[in-house]
Amino acid sequence: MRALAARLLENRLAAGGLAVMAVVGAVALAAPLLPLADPNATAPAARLLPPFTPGAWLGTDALGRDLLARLVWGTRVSLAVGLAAALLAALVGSAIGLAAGFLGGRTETILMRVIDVLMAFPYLLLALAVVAALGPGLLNALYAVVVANIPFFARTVRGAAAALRGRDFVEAARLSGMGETRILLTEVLPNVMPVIVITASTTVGWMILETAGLSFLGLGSQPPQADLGAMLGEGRKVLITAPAVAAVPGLVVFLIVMSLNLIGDGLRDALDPRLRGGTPGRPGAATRVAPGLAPAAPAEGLAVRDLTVAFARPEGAADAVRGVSLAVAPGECLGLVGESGSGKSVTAHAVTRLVASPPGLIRGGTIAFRDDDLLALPPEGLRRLRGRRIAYVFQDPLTTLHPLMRVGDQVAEAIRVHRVLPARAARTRTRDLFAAVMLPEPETIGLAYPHELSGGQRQRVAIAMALANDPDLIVADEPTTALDVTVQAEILDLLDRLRRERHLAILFISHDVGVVRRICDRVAVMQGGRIVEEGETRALLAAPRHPVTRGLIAAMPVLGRRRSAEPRPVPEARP
Amino acid sequence: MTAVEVRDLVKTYPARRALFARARPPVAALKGVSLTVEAGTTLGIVGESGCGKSTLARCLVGLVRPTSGTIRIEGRPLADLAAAGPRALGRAVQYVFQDPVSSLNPRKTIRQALAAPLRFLAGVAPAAREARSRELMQAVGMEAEHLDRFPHEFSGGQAQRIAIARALAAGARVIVLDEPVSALDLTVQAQVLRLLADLKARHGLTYLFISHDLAVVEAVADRVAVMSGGEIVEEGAPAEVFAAPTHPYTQRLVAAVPRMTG
Repeated sequence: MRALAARLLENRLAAGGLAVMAVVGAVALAAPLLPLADPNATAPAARLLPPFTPGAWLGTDALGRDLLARLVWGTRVSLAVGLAAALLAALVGSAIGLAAGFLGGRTETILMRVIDVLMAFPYLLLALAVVAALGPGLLNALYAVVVANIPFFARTVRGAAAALRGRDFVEAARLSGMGETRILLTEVLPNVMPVIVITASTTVGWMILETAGLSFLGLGSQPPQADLGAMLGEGRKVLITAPAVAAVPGLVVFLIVMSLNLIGDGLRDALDPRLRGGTPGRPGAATRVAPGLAPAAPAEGLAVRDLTVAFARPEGAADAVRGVSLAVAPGECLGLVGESGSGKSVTAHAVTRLVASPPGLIRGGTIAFRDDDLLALPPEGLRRLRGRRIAYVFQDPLTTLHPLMRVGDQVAEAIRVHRVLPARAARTRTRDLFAAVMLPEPETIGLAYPHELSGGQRQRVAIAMALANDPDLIVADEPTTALDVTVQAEILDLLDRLRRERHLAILFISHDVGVVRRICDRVAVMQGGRIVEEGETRALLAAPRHPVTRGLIAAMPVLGRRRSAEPRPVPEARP
Repeated sequence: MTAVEVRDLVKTYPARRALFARARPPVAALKGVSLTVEAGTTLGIVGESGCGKSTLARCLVGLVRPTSGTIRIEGRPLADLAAAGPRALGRAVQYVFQDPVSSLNPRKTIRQALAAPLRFLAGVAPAAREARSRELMQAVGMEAEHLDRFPHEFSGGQAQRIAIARALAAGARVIVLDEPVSALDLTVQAQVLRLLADLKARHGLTYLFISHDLAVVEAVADRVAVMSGGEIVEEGAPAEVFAAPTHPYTQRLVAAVPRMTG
């Protein structure tokens, strides 16, 4: 809670909004204690006094009532009605949304169709209908605003609750013997709460505006009671002769709504776990490089020397990769193995400076690819290199392929980004690539969307995309970890064949030494950001020297060797 | 004694008719599966994703209602247990999910996560819950201080230990493990497998261990059943099944496993 407040105040706009609202709220709350004139006392003799008149600092309205007093009391009414409307709408709307989203099925259909009917009416028409049915009055205006805003909450909360319905922890709660109501209240509701708070905080300003609008039309607060909307309505009649009468309440409405919206936006950012901890902001196109690094000497293939990559954290920078050197010659396959957290993926991403920055920073070392110094290249130069001469294959193709684009179009796009090619030629090339990665029916499979393919087929598409521009180096980051064993074997065979046919270099990242053994010529073992052992694959795995390597081998599932007894925990060498 | 008995289990997901979307024909996830597991033993179930092994697991704990066929847990029909409410079922059989982090509510501490089965299933009095929670944490090799932490503060291996502790909390003697180590690093896998073996020996548990990893199943299972296309195609002692597979599907599966020699 304190952390939340701190994050909220870090946002300068939200802090400003909070300050304005604190002042407005305090004045409104203290209205009965302030030395104000009676807001409803008319004085026809002193009508339409200009502002800064002694005794009436904001002047008087058409009936001679003190504008300052009316403003303070009117703000009090408007705030109370707006907040009450927001709370009521949040309560009713969220309850409907929760029930619909969690229960699903027929309940959801019925509830959401009712909500749809409400939504089909324009908001003002709906509010007018409610007021027409109930009669004008502040309370009825409040009901109207609540009814008009229930669909908004119901739909938002339903979406969040429906996403949680099938989650493992909800089923785990069911298996723990909890009843449905209890699951809804103690498992689902706390996870939906941020959504409700955010929705409420971003709409409360809007609801104050809506109540003011109804009062302006004469459907809300009734004379002589003041509220900001009614004051605007009264000021409209004398707009030409005494503009201050309408301008003053208008300005206050603007201030309140503006600062509430700023607070709401700030609250949303503060509650969003994705924005937590890090500096909000888009990572750059290339990992930042510390200034003053030595230039890289040209190499035959890929050459990485003493690479050090750090991540900025609130408690200071932490090195994820510390002085890694490796080389991949053309046509060679180098395996990089290690447990998760050993820095192997960061090393792989740093090669073309794909580590998100901030927080990533390359603190030292050199990376050369043929004649290019990758740490000195501008983003534009890197972009020409990526996907053309150095291509990537990632672990989960379902997250790297665009879900709404046909896979054939995605491969064609990868080709046409790098060279000018007519659409027809790109399609032909795509078909050839699909044939090369042995996808069934290469002619037509390009029309499929990623979700229509199996995991193995998706990974074949990703490999086809990596091959699209005949790269010299493929960086494969755990390309088979998400796949079944039989599919894994096929993908490994495919990569191996392509590498031999096309003289490709492969940097292969994995935590599975069995997989690495199947495809790699050389292997480097990583732990704690360093390479602890390196050598020819079979020789190294047959006679491992470092305990990490031994641990990885012992942990490997091998048929015919029961491994439940032997693997010893690998000694941790963490900072 | 037979701990789990499944007879002719069929689960068919009905056809979906849709006004605008493409209609879906009925999908047969399980086509008459029968198996028995003796008390205190482990049955390994292997097969590729989509072969129906997860549907089978979810049928066994009542998360999926089978179309036909019977399941008996320790002699009592699952339908009766389910009809008696979630509590009777939860006391007889428990489930460990593949992804341990997502099986724990991100907004609840470990203490709260363990409290639910202790309260609703084991019927432990509030005063005794603290001591029992500490015992459970100790049993899975975690510290009592970890009780006040939230799931995201743990690594995958630690979270899976906690999930196992939660399954133990109910006092069920049959535990269905649905790919319990697939999301873990290989070294962590070995540790969790050792923990499972310890717990089984100490508490006399019966495991249904589902995995696509043959070597893992071989390491933990007393018997193994190979599933393909919603049916069990081969069953036997793991050494025999994997050394001399008779069904072509099993042969393909065995051939695909990476080896350290050859």
